[in-house]
Amino acid sequence: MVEHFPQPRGRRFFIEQERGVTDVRVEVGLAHVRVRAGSGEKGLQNHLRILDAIAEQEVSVSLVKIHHDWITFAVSQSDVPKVTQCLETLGMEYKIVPDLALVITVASNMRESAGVMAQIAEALWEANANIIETGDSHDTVQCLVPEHRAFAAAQALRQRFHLVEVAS
Amino acid sequence: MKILVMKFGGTSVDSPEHREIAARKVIRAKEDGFAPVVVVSAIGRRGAPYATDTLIEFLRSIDPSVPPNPREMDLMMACGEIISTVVMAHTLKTMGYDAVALTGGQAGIITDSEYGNARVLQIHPQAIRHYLEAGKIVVVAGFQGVAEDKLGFHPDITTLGRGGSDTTASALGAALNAVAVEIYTDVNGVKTADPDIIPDAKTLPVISYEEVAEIAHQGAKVLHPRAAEIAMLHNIPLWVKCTFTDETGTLVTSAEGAEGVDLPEVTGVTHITGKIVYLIFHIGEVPEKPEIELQIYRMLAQADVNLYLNSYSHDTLSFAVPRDRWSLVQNLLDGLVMPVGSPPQRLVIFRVGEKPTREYQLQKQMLSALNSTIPVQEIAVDVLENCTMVSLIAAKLSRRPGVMALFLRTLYEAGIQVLQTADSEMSLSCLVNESDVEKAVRVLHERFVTNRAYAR
Repeated sequence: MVEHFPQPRGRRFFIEQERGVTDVRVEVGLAHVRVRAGSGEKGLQNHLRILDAIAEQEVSVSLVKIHHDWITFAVSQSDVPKVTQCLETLGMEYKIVPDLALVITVASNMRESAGVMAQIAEALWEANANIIETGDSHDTVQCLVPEHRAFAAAQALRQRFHLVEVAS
Repeated sequence: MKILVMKFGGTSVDSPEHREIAARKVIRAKEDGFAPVVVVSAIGRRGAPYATDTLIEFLRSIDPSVPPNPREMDLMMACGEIISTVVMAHTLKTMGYDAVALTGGQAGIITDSEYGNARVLQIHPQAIRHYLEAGKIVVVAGFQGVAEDKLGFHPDITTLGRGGSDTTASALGAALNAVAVEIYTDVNGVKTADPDIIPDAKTLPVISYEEVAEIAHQGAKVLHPRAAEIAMLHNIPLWVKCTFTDETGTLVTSAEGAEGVDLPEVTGVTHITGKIVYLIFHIGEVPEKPEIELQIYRMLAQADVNLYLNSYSHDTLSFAVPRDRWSLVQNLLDGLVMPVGSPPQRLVIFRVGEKPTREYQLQKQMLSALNSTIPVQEIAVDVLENCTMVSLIAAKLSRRPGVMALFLRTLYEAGIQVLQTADSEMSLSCLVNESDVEKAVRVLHERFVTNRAYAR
């Protein structure tokens, strides 16, 4: 479920959108899954076993990250029972952190904006919203944080990036 | 008046023969009842006398140790497009068509004042409309505009950054409410992969604004993402066509604008040509991990270093930095001593790479004297040099269950080491060693584009 934070209009634009952060959104109802896959050839095989088994259950994954011994990803909270069953069946060691939300910072040309990640991390730190995982694309930085801190985090980001009402 | 914006890149205007071909396309549009507004880039590429890179090198060659003032650099760079504009207008005149050349400022393009990477704020199109109503073909210098002079005198020339002529064309299309913007280049549209790697890569007949922006951001060079973003904001149809053929090219439009044509499930496979350095910080599962991460981010922000492919785990932080910033980042990090806590509870020292450097050893030696009074923790930083990113652009597919598994299986089966992955609504990406890039593009293209082997 995607929820626009109140006043999601961002900055005004003329011909081109102004540079910098233009919006902050919150997507609630997520969980983070960490599975010990092992390393080397065994690790690769386990990545595929885990992702295949979850796909068989029609569960969509995001924020997939490969670490030395682990594979991690986010799923919808409602899919946690299916994921748990899959991992139990496979006999994998895993940890699931429930009740998370994605705080999404939208900016024009994020990859050419030095310092945005520092500002986001500072705002989330001030809002006491511990970052569990991040993802980025050309126009977003997504931070997975505890759901109960997500709206405070979004508020902190809006203040940080001066996303206030603009007279039209 | 049906205004058509036609943009010609540097290779489309780099010889009398090419300029004549481009001019004939403009003339055909005029004869077909359109009012053409032509945007041109500087003539040729690096080494050509009036190419942008040549002008930059000329200025820098005066004394390589003294960087030119950005304001003067913009004045210099803008010359290439102005020359090209005058040459194209005169070429049209020699072919019997009345044309007028305008600089970005004369065309009414107003930007902010960030020299070298200005944004278009407004366009006052009265001059262009005046000349079009008089029956002239208007030729506008791409890549430039004007910004208010900080002292309140005459406006300063600004340039729009990489791909700026595409941006000019889209911006003019928006301001003039053009029927379409046509971007002419040396390939016949947006391809499903780099034709240098996949010679039989297909030309996409239609693609969405979002997809073309994504493939451009992920490394494809056919169209600058800012041009796509402006066209999307103002809903202007954008075409990517070849100057040297009469093929239809690729229509870039909204999903609604692609009426009757199915947008592809898989747009293509792209790769970034510049090298990336990927760093893994072994911070450990400590309560101060968020504080340490924040300090690292702050330091790199102060050094103006872009980070991407950020990834967290319970005990590590990872991200990529551009190859050309690596030396700076290495100097900042290696041997860095950071107090943690307020007041400081302990110190951390960063060791970059496998072998301790002299700088690190010196710092470590100095810290040893403090070890009895305050704990010192080492943070090892693994460095993966010479890697780059390959992306599958698949807006309709990236979140489908099973696609990430298939994406990884395709790479693993080809023996490609995947260093990290990233995913979004638009794409799946992987970080691989540079030596594996071509193979990764080939196997992903074969499975997802040629064989469409993702259907479940």
